[in-house]
Amino acid sequence: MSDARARAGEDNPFTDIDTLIHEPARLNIMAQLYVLDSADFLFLMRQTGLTFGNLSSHLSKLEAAGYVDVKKEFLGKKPHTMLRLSEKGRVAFRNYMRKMKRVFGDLSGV
Amino acid sequence: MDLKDLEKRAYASSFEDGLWDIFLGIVLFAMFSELLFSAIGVSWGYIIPEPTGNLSVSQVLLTALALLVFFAGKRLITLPRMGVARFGPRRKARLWRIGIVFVITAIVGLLFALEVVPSMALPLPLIAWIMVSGLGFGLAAYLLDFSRLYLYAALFAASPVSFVLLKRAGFPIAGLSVVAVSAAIMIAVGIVLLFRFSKKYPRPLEVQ
Repeated sequence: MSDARARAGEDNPFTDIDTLIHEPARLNIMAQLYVLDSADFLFLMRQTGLTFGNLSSHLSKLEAAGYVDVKKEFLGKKPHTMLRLSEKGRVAFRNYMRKMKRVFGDLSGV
Repeated sequence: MDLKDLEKRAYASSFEDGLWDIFLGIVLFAMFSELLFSAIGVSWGYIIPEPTGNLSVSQVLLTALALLVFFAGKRLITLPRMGVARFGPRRKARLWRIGIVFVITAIVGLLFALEVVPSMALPLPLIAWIMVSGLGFGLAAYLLDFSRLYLYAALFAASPVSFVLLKRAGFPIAGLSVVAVSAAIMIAVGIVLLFRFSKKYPRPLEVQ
């Protein structure tokens, strides 16, 4: 990358946005988990309006990135999966919000 | 995106099932049963008989029924359809405050129910009842973001008082009707909400 392009990248707030979070469905999941301590799969499905398959696939990506912790527990005698935003996920979400604010702050003068 | 609003909406989903409405309605109906016993002069069926107290078996049984309906409904209807969520420390702190408010409400309510201070049976206990049920439920409505509870605060505060005042004025049946109708309103709202909740959130088969 040339020096000029690298400098342009530093000034450009769009280049550093976390694309894993930026996807609308995952952004929805991250926001839901950010305001909660933890939730199970069904609660997230209800709150986000995503289908079972869709939610499952997005959660896998977030879990692989270390943004979501999956905890298996028992509810009575039934196995139950609780999901929670990891510390890394919380930091990533806060950074994402900060960067998006900057993006929209920069766009507001147009 | 308003995160506070998102959290509020997630929390408000706890009241979508109408079980709180049914629970409070049955509790008020339990009070109605006791008032009915007392109005028609039934001397049996009291755990703490009059004039010392007026805690009837029907009141205890109906309150137990209210608890049973609430917990069974949550376990068998709400959780399999809505899932489970745990809220953050701010919400937990609010729940603690509500718990304290309700313990105080329960103690003063019990004092009123048992007429521990017979010489001050009226009007101080009535004023205490209005303040405690109105303020207790009102504060809980605010802390829980549960707007229907404001209406129930008014009904809980007003209906036993209406009964006493109407009974004094020589209209005991009208007084009893106020309490019964208030309880019926809560139960009806709860049943409608429960029905709508069951239709809106069918039990998913594939989700564990």
